[in-house]
Amino acid sequence: MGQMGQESGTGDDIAVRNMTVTFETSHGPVSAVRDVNTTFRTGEVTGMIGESGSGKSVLGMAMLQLLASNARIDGVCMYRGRNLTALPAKEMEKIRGKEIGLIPQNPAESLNPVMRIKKQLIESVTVHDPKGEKRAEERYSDLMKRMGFSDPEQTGSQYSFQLSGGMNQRVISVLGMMNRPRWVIADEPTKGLDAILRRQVYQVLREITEQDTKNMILITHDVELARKLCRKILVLYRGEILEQGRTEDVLGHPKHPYTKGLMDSLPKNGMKPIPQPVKEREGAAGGCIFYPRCPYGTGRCGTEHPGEFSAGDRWRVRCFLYESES
Amino acid sequence: MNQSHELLRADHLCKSFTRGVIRKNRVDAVADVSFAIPRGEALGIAGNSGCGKSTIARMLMGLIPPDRGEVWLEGREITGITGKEAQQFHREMQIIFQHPESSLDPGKKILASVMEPMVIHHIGRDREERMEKIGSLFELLGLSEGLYGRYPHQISGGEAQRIIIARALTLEPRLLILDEPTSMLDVSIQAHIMNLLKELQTTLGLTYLLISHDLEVLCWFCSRICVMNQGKLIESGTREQILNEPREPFTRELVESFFL
Repeated sequence: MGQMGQESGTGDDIAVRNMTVTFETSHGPVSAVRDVNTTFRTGEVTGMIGESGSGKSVLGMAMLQLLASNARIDGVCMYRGRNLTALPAKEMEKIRGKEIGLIPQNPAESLNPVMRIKKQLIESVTVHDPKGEKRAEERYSDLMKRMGFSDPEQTGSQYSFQLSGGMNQRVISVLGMMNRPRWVIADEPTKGLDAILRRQVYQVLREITEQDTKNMILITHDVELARKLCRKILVLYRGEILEQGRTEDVLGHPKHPYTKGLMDSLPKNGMKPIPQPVKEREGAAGGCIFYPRCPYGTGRCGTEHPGEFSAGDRWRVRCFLYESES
Repeated sequence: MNQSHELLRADHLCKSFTRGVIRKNRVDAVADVSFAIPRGEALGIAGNSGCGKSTIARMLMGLIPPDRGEVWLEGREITGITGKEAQQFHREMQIIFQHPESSLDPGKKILASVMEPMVIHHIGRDREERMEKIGSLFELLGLSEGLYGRYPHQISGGEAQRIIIARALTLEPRLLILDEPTSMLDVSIQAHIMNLLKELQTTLGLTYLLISHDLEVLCWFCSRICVMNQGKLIESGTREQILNEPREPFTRELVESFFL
């Protein structure tokens, strides 16, 4: 099978190999992420796009060991010579926030509702470095000003419920950056925001990549945001990466039938829906995950699982249509 | 505009909310909003969170009374009507909310939830006739009959929203108010539902009021668009006018920020 064109992890790159995440549920095991292979390169923003249930957030949280206790992670996530999925809890605490910062989903829910804003932001630094309070204060007021809060002390004395959705989003962006992490993972930063707030968040993220760190992983369902910010795109569907490559290739000339369908269903491309699953094709185990809805599906797709085939430089597609090209 | 072509008209609607006990804080959620929708057309209302879009929908449906102003449906004033009259106009005008799962009773199976409005409005002679109607609407919306016996937590968001649409259509309404119908759904499911709604516009002759913050969806679906800001209707025009020659600074900002 076409497991070729692997980019080897170097330096501060994050290399994910054969990662599968399985949740033990009362209905038996459910795989939310299956056999993911990719490298997040330093110096560029990588976008993970996909619809609900595609596993994009699970993959991001698995890298930080932030999943519920019924999750089992197989495979490795190599970062600076260490496998993050196998690190003990104490070691992982040193990675989280300091090495890899997280800008979590649902800003209001991610902030402590009974702690003042400034206190919790300062705490994110002092928890790693008890003597770092003065440094944290400086970082706090610098970041808050950059995110558009003209009076950081006044805003910091408030609680999260006193701030608007857009302000909370900016506050947790500050939270993710407080420790000057080498990497940032931003999880659905524009979810549920209206157009004007969405643009604000876009500018905040852009500012982070220009001034703090270019090493960013953006988890989003917002294709336009990904197009604007990312150098590389991973397209996930039901736990698998179906296509990955440079943004201009994947979003400009999509190859996988799912990526094509996703792009066609955008309002600006005329909202042409992806076909509903064909009943006879459903339930077949072992085949391509997109086979039930695929307009190009053949008999082979129902029984054989496609590998990732090369479609060009840094471009891989999980579809038999591109087998001959690799 | 010729009155007889108008299906729905809102005249100078106002609504304010007060909060606080000692120090009262008044918010004008909707201030003097008027518009009309011609039969068979789709009108869009655009605006940011908190601009009063949903308050308008609630006033049109009679869920909250306006402070001032009137709502007219087919030349009849329906503001503040009650009892039998209200029941009749509820049949003609239905609303689809943003969160489909909260529009379904969590303790009832799907079929029971879908059938209830038909029983209330005495549609169909018996269960059999109602089942037949539900069956044909499920088919129209691409829903499987296997969903009948499920509970709301056992279905997906896209299925739930299509079930809500099917339930609204059991009453054969003339007007559907869509309040952010797809903002919680994935783009591929949004495309599916918006296409369905557009087809229904021709096959059933439906009239729509689509409320959304998504300018692209509005422009795809509606021929005319009104823009709201802070409770006021600041600009209205054809979609081409709004997109290409917005007059108000707020509209311009909205259009620009939409395309990042």
